[in-house]
Amino acid sequence: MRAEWLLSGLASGRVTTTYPRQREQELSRRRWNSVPTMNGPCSDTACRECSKVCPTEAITRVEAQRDAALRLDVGACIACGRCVDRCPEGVFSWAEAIDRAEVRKERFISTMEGGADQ
Amino acid sequence: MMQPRLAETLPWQGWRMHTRRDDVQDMIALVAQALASDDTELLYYGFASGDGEDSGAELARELVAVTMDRTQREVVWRFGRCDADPREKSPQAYFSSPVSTPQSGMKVYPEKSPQAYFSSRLLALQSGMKVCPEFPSLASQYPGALWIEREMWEKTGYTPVGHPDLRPILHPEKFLPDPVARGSGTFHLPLGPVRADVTESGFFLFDTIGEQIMHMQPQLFYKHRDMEKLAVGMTAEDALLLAERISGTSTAAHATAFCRAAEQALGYRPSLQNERERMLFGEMERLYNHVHDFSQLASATGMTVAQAQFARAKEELLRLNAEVTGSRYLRGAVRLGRSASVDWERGTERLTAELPAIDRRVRRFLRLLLHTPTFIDRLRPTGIVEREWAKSYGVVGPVARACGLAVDARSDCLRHLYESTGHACMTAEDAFGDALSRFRVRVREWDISLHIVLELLPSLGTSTLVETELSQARGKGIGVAESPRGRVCHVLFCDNGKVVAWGIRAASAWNWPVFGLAAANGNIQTDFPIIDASFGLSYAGLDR
Ligand code: SF4
Ligand code: SF4
Repeated sequence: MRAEWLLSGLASGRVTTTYPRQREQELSRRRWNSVPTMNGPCSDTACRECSKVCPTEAITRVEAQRDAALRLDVGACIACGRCVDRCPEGVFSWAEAIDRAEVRKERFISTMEGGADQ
Repeated sequence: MMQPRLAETLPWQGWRMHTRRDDVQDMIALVAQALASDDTELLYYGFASGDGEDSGAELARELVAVTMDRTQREVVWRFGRCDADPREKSPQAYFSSPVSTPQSGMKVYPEKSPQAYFSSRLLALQSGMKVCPEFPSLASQYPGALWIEREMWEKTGYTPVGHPDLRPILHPEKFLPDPVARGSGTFHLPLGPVRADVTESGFFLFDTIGEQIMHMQPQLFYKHRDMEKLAVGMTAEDALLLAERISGTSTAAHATAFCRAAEQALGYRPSLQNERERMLFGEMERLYNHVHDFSQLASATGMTVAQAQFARAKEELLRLNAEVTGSRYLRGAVRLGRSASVDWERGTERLTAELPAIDRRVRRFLRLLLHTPTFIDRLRPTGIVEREWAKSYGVVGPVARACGLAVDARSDCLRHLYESTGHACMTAEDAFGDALSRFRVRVREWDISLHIVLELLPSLGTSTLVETELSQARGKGIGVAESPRGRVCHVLFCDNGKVVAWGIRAASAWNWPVFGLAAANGNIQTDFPIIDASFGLSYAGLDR
């Protein structure tokens, strides 16, 4: 019995995988849920879909004087994917990095200035 | 009056649903009577809504019990209307008289302050709500309700009259259990709430004499988030996100049970394809959970090679989950009223390519373990759950099946879904009810789950995204799924498309009360990690 354990332990060899920094490195699936990121400004001034569907209020539309900026707080995000699925402009997509660490919580917040047609 | 109607949603096809409203006395008597039968199980028991303010007046503080008769194929919803009693005692009288006779050695804890009770009562009376200051205890006849009624009592202040062990359960920061055993040579060992490994928080109080465990009391609810209350006022779609987060390792099972309840309540018609996907996710979840339990058990018995190998298999399965659904823990895979957004062609390819290799390895190490005397010796008479206890506590999942009870939601209420997948309820051959029986049940279930996954995959190739419209805004629903730890059940009341009341019974909620019994009764201190690993309980599932 002991020999069998020894052999089977040895037979599997060393099993290591690299720690994936980018999701493509480990998982070939493109839409692997990490956290969303914004690809560009939102040009639709009337639409409020993303801030409406986000269950944790991680996305807010900051109504500035003339144009509306988008504010995304990935610290509050639960990676449900609704913003990625529902935005008609394709503003949101899954981030490439699978993890993210910051020293201060505010660093998780990013903003994108308002639409170009304003 | 009984109003039988045929259940319309797919998971309950062919089942009859009854709704009964009774006086609360009769209701408890009827439930207890039904539960005396071997074929009837309690799916849900509790107040329809925790505090009642937000819900419709007719639901406020109404007692609900849902039972399932698996041979008659019927589900009975029983509501206990507690009409205000004109001979009602004044709050002061209520508090000066002892609420219950605690078991010897149990400390009587101070209850809610009379003022708090008085004001909440006054509020209830003013708002015209029907109040029930007390109700007959079901736990006095059915031990499975012991913890549930303690929780109900603490949340609402309503007293289950005749409850044999009425102590606070929800606030471990204020109340911890007291030792029971006294006398020379007895020793009290508190363990937790912070424990080694990545275990969640739980407190265990051991009363020992020498090595022997005489008595063990678990105290949980360190992670109580009051999710049922959080969801009130949300749309079912948003509440589903909460349901997924009840217990991370049973994400798919909770999401499935919740969706089934919501679909029944809101009149969605999920397609067969839809249900098949859910079944598949459920089995993928079982695979990684069972292999995790193998790993924990190997670790508890010092089998380090096996532990590492199973941990590796678990990681591979988690990555496979992520490749197929986008989430390692299958979050977002189960959706309300529609199919998962999964590329099944690719998913099938990945699963069929990787699962056989993982299976071969897992099997090899399982076989080795089962032929290793030191492993078997540690498991054999350890942590026995008597068949009688399992029955009276309503124990579910592998723990129940290890006692020889054929309790498996997949073969009773979901049979017509699972029939074609070759699922069979796996009870232990020896039905000894100990750690080894539980291990063996999981070993057999590993095979079955793998078989179901491979059986289901070809039927999923044709993914058509069927969106079904909700057809009613108001209703109640009950959803059941078999998680890796046993049956989970969700009860949902909706009005205007929003959640009015939600009830969750996770598998671990049924199994935790029996854990203390299994850990005492002839076991020694060093058996505890093995018993713990063989139960594989979820803390968050109970705490919710
Ligand atoms: S993934 Fe979900 S939680 Fe995160 S920002 Fe998008 S909608 Fe909000
Ligand atoms: S980012 Fe997309 S979803 Fe949000 S407001 Fe702009 S167009 Fe609408």
